[in-house]
Amino acid sequence: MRHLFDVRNIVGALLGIYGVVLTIAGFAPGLLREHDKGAGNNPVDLYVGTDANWWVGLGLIGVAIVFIGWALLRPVKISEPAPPEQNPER
Amino acid sequence: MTTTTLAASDVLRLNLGWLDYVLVAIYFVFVLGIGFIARSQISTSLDFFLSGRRLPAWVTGLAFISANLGAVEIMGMSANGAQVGLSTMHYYWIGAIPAMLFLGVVMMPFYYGSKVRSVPEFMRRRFGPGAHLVNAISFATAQVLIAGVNLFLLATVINALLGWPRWVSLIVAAVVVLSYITLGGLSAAIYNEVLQFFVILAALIPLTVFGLIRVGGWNGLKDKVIDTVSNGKVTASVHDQVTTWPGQALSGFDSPVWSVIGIVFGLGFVLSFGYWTTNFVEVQRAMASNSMSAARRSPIIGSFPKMFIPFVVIVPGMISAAAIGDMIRLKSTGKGDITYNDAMLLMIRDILPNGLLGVAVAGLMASFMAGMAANISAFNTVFSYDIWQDYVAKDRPDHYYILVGRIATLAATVLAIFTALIAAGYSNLMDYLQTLFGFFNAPLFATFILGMFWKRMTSTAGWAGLVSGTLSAVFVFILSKAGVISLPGQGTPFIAASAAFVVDIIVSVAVTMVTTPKPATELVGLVYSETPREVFADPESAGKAWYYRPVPLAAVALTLTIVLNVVFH
Repeated sequence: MRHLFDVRNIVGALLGIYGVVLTIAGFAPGLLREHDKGAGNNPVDLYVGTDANWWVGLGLIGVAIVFIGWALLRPVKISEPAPPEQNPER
Repeated sequence: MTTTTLAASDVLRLNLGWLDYVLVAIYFVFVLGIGFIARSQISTSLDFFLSGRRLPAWVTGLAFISANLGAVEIMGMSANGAQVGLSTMHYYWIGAIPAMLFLGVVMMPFYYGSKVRSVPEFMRRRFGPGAHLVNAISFATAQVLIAGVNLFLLATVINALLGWPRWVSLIVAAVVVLSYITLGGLSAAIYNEVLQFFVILAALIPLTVFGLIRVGGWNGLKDKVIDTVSNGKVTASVHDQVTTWPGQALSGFDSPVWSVIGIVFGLGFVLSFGYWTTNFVEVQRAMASNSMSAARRSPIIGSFPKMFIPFVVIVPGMISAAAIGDMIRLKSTGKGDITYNDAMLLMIRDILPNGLLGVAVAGLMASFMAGMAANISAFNTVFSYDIWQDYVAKDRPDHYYILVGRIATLAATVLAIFTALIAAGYSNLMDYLQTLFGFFNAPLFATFILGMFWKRMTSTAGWAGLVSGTLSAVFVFILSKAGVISLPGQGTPFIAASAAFVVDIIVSVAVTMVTTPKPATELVGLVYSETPREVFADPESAGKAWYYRPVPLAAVALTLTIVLNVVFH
């Protein structure tokens, strides 16, 4: 449990899930709603399109791999429970 | 901080699909999951309030800046980006980094070396109960209030974006924060801050990159920037907006020389040192580190992302003001259906497709909740250790104080909900109160730095300096409200903070001269000259690479900040 509860694994897991969902959404735009054209009076059309989902999705999967890999390569050393506060050594 | 008024109508409404809600829901599962797992790590009160002092430096470093990267900050700073442009960078490069580095290099050895569990506790050990009570009570009250304002803004933003009734998001957010803090204490807050940091970046980085691509890159953006007009007068010219120095549009001073002086001393010295080096919300994160070296490095590590965050916050604000019709109208006429605070929300609405929209909404909710959780976790520590344990129920078994902490968390959340409800009715009152609590920060730095390096400074001088410094800041504020002095832009807070700083020093020195100092034996660990060097020693840094040692790392951070200032001058 303590090993799984490494914040690197948590960050990796969430970004990994987001990455997978976004990648699927990017390649299957039918899953998504039509984009609102916004106020429609923009001099520059800013809308980036649904392909952006998989660009970012693949990026997030990459970041997730880095985090989980880091946690695997450098696992936390399981330390003794902290001595109580009154202990003058601390 | 910033006040947030949003567009009234449903201009900001996002067209969310089921997939976006799935992404938001996944985030909530993680947030609560962290609370449940963090619970298993709590056996002493130190675990609950300070994560057992066993977190690595990179975690506390990210939490250090993440606790400050609330949605209020993201929306406020992108609003500034839309309104005054690049000189908003000063809030980061001048107004944060130097103070964070100073905290890590100079002040953290005192905080961590003396083993105090909170900033007010340092106050008590150095100056006794007078200064301690002033500090602990003003801090605790301010935290509840700020948590409430955060909650109110979350409800307002979610209402504008998704159309949920305010009370729904208010209750949901409060219950979520309450659950994970009562379960997991500071560890749950910190882990969620780290998680929030990455989720908000997963939304902001693509937003900035895509936005820049659509407007034709950095040069395309510079070509499209227009003058900011308000009341028929140009308040920020195009030139002001694409340069950082001398930053007249930011400081409000006409003279470039005074503008630079105001930014460097007002923002960079008195305001930011007071905030970053003594605010327990930030310092608590560093105190949770697993060693002296890690505690000192955490604000320094945090300074690296802090340097680059403005690029994904301020630049989107600038893009919105160059490419979004409503914002352009507001900027060129000073009137419109929207406000500058909508800048980031308009960008999210117009750039991102469904999917990424979900990530952005999750990121915004995350940063509101993390901001509130940071205030609450700092509150429960100060309340339990500094108020309850010191003045109400001393010498109880350790687990008693965990219980106090959990009840304090519940009470703070309930109070925050009430504050949010009051804020909904009287937003001006909230602004004034927030400004007022800002004044308690201003003189703290003066008292701390004198107390750490001047062994003669007495206990009476401690509280007298704090009180008179705070009062002089309030006095300047009242004078400016009454119209006796009139200063443009950021002039009033700069002058108020400077007055607080100077008066604090003068009063502290004067009072010290006529009162009796504490015996030197009581100052070990608290005052530089009375502390054996081993207390500050940091044996694990010796012989390590430069990036494991606080001072060389801080030097690199400072150099990088200077380079950024030169490149974007």
